[in-house]
Amino acid sequence: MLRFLLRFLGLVGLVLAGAGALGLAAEPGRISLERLKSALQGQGDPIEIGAVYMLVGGAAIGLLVIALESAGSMWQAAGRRSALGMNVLVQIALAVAILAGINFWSFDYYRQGHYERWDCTRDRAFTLPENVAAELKKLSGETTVIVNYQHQDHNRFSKKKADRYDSAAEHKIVEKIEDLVDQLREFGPQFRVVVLDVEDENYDQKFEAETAAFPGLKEAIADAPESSVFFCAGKNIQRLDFHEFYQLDKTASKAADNGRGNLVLLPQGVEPFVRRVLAIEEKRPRIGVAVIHEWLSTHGSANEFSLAGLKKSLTNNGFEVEDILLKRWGEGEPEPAAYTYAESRLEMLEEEQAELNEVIPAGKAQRESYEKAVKLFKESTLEQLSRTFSDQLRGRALTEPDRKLNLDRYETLITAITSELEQMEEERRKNEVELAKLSRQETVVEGKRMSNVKEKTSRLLAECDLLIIPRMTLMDLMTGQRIPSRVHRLNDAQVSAIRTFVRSGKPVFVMFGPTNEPSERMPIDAAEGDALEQLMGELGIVFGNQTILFTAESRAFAARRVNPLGGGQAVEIPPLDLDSPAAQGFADAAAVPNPLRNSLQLIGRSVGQKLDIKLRYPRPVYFTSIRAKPAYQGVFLFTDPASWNEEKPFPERAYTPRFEPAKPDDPKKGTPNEERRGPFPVGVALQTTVPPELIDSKYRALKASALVLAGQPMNGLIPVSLVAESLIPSDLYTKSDPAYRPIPVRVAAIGHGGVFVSADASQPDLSPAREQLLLQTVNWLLAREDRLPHAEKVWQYPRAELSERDQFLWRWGAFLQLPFLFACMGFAVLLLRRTR
Amino acid sequence: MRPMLTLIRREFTAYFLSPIAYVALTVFLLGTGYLFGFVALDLLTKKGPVGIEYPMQEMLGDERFWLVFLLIPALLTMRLFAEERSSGTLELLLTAPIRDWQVVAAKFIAAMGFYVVLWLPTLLYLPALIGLQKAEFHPEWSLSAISMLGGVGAMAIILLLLAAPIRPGIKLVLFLLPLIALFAAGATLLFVDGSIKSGAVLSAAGLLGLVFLVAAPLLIGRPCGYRFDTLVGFVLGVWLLLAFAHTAYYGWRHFVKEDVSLIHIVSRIDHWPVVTSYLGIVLAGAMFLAIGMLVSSMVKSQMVAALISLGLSLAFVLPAFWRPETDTGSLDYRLRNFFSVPVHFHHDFTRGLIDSRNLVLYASVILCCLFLTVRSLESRRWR
Repeated sequence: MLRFLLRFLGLVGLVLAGAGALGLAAEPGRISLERLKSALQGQGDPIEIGAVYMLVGGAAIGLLVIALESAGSMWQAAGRRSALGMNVLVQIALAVAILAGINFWSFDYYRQGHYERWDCTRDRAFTLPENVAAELKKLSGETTVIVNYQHQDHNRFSKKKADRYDSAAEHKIVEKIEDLVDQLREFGPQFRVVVLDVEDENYDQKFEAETAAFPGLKEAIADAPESSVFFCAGKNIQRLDFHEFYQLDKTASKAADNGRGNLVLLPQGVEPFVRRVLAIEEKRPRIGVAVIHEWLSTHGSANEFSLAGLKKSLTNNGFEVEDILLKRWGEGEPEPAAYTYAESRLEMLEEEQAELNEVIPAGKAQRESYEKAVKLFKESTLEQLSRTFSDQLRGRALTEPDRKLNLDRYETLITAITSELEQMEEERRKNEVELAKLSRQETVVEGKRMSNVKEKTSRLLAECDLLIIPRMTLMDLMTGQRIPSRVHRLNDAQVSAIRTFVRSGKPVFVMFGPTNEPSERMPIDAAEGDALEQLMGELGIVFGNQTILFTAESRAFAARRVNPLGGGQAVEIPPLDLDSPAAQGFADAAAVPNPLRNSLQLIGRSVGQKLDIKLRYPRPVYFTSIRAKPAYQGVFLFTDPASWNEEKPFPERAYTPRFEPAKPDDPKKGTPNEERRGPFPVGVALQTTVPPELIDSKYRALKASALVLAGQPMNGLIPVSLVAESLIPSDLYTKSDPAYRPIPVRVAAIGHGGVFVSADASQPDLSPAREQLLLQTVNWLLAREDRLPHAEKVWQYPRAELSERDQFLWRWGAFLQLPFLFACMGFAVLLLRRTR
Repeated sequence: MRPMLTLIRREFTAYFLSPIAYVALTVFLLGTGYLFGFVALDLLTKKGPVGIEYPMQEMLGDERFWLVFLLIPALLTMRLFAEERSSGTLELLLTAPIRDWQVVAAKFIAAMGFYVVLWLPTLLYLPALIGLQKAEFHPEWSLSAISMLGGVGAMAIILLLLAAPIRPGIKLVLFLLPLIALFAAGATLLFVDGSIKSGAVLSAAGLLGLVFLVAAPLLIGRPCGYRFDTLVGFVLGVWLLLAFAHTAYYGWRHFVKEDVSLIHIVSRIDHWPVVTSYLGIVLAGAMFLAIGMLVSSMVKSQMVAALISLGLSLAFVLPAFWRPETDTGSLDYRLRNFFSVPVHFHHDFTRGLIDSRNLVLYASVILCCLFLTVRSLESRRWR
């Protein structure tokens, strides 16, 4: 009877546990140990708590009964053959204990590395490189890796609707990232990995929980343009976009397997991933943008001028951007200066505040006078009022409607001035807050105090890791809209500070538009050349002095002749050429293609089409190898061949720019300035060394003497220093000096000042293609090659190369023929046995 | 040993004399044929950006496959003891001159044998699964290759000795002679080659090991009343295991670590994930068979045995259906991944990874179940 009761109790426990499990499963959300624990502590929904108690209680009863049953049967056994029974009992207990113990040890609860994973794949797909593993082992503290999966419906680089290649690539990259994350986990508990999937029904809940733990993560996820991995440790957050880990090659994907298609991905290696983890506390690179006016800065709010898109893209991708304003504008000619946007803002706020401090009391006084008038009109009799305003009334007596009219007028004025005063007070309060904030910034206050332009420029540049100098000049030939190039010129002190910046080996990215002017406005000093362009020349970058016009623009010029006011505005010009070999007449000494050009080509392949970067009215930029033999080709951007270089690009009443090949007696014939058809180089990126004369003035003297000895005059617009370098390489006058150490420096130049200008400053997003041009160039300049896409390895789905016939045979042979063979064998055996 | 071999033969042939083997083979091959022909091969020949990186993953990495697959071990093991028990032949077997562990081992080996036979036809899929272009013999003899083949030879000799109908004493002598010769030759070579200073130590250790592993069972076992033929069987069994470990180690070194291997396979798709998948299949199958055998030894009805073993085996499959919280490194996830056989295959075996945790789990469950099966059989004697 007792045995029956015991077993009945066990069954009841089992039913209870089952009911509890069912109840728990019916509750929303996933079942986890944490959830069970909190329910046992009385937290959560009453039904859930009840279900957990039923589950735990039922399981406990069941286990108790099993234990009693086991003990009973063992006792029985032990009673019958006590020695043998006890022996067996101990053996079984030991076996079970060993089973549990060895598995607990192998499970590695405390993550002490009690297990081993052997990667037997042919190319060690699941093994981190030894150097990477060694670096990761040094990590301490917890890093949370958040994989944010967005299921994008558009291509990252073209903003076009995602096709099945994009979608397949995203899925595969997620798998690869999860594999890598698994490998990271092998290093111990310092990695916590969370996957946030926007299609997950609990996404919002998880998102809130994770973003609450890391300030700034919410904004970082919102700003992420695609599915990304975030590495979080305290306040530090680093982002890795999926395409930085594996990049889709859509062009190759479509062409793969003899045009049948495959998924071709370009693995970018684990280094970018691991570097983000290791450099999580690394300072963001600071980029200075040197412009001559606030309108042209990254804070500019004027359409067609603002670089707000540049700032947004750079900031979203882990850079700090600081404007450096190089001119102060007022009455007359602008003066050379050097100040940041914050300083400018501080000055402006102080001015505004001073103005408000004057205007508000005046407004208040005005209001008081109106109030007095109201009081007067309200409290005085008509006779008194007639006497008071006898001059204005000119003998007429004030009537009641007059009084009412005046009262209404004054009250309207009081209402208006009160509202205005409130607005001004509010503005003053806001200004005060902002002023206080800016005034607390030591660098801003100190910078504002400094007046020496050279020192100030040097100080501002010293804080930057990269300097961008955009010079927007020619905007529209049809309307003549342009910024004269002479306005962009810097004074000697400023150029000297930039030279010092270059001397320290820091990279510079210049974007200079054409310097051509309409013939009637050609400045007197046009032939002087520009000191900054000269510096670029010393580094090996020479800007042509023409504007490149496209064949398509000839039609626009023709339309303008017919309709001078409106014709020729809409012209579809061809995008820059990134695909054809760069050696079309501009072959550098180096055969290795430019790394930036490679990166941009790969990004284009990811989209499956040409990157749509169109530059209207660019300027040729030539690369001359003047110092050490370059490791790769310097030019990375070319125009379409349907273009020509024009010295007089402005259409006039009696002149229309058109392509006219240079005549045989033209002195420009055979020089870069010869008028000819494209393609033209419009972008150069090179790694060179700092000119020796920048390092030490003694080299300047040596160079000058070399020039004199060579008897070289100025050669057109090509700088003298360049001539000297090309004739007498700096090696000749530096190699005898054992103290001389060449300083490597990276420079990039684009022959257009408005590449990264936002057409609409209120929505400053750069187009995906321009954003990539910017990011790739900046990353390369900062020697972050690991962030440039490369195609050293290619991944694609393996394919069984079988004909249709072979596929049919394999498929049906495996599915039907093989089983049928064994079925027949079985039938034969059966028949044989029956025969016997 | 002979009764054990007889029992293995009897159990193994029993499968083929009944229609069960053929029905199981037919149904199993229909299932795997479908997975191969209409899932894996389909993905391997697709157009566009669809495909599969590890073909075996598509066949063996799915939880649903394992739900169906679990029927096979349950079907194979349900009759092992339950049938004998219900038909009353178990008493006959237990009173026969054969030990309980030998009965258990024989039945397990036979079941494993049939299980392996079940999978053997699937090897025919391999040329398509790995995109085989050519497989050729490269006679380049490295130390690992020679050691591996030496191990294979040793295993063959030991197996022959085990099965040969000769007296145990002669077996022992025949076993010792080539080994002693081998060690002597090795020691001589090592002494001659002065560059290997540890040669003497190695050969001495080898000889000591030989003496210990051969002499110790005889010296200790005889006074304890163990029969000479049992001890010789034990010695040969231990050496068989050592030879297997030796072969496996040098085989791994030769095929994984060395650039040129004796058998050179040129394939479009990595063949190592296929090898590791089959290794996993053998081990996981052995675990499920061991569980089934334990259950079969405890109940009378074959159907009940099949159902209970199925239920117990589900404990290693159902966790795969559980998707815990977001942190894939959390304890919940780790527990799931530890116990779930489909996850082992999806993450590891089918992608060319071998995780010691999986191996330890399978091996420990196999040994524990076999041990408990022996004890379960023994219990009939004293209950």
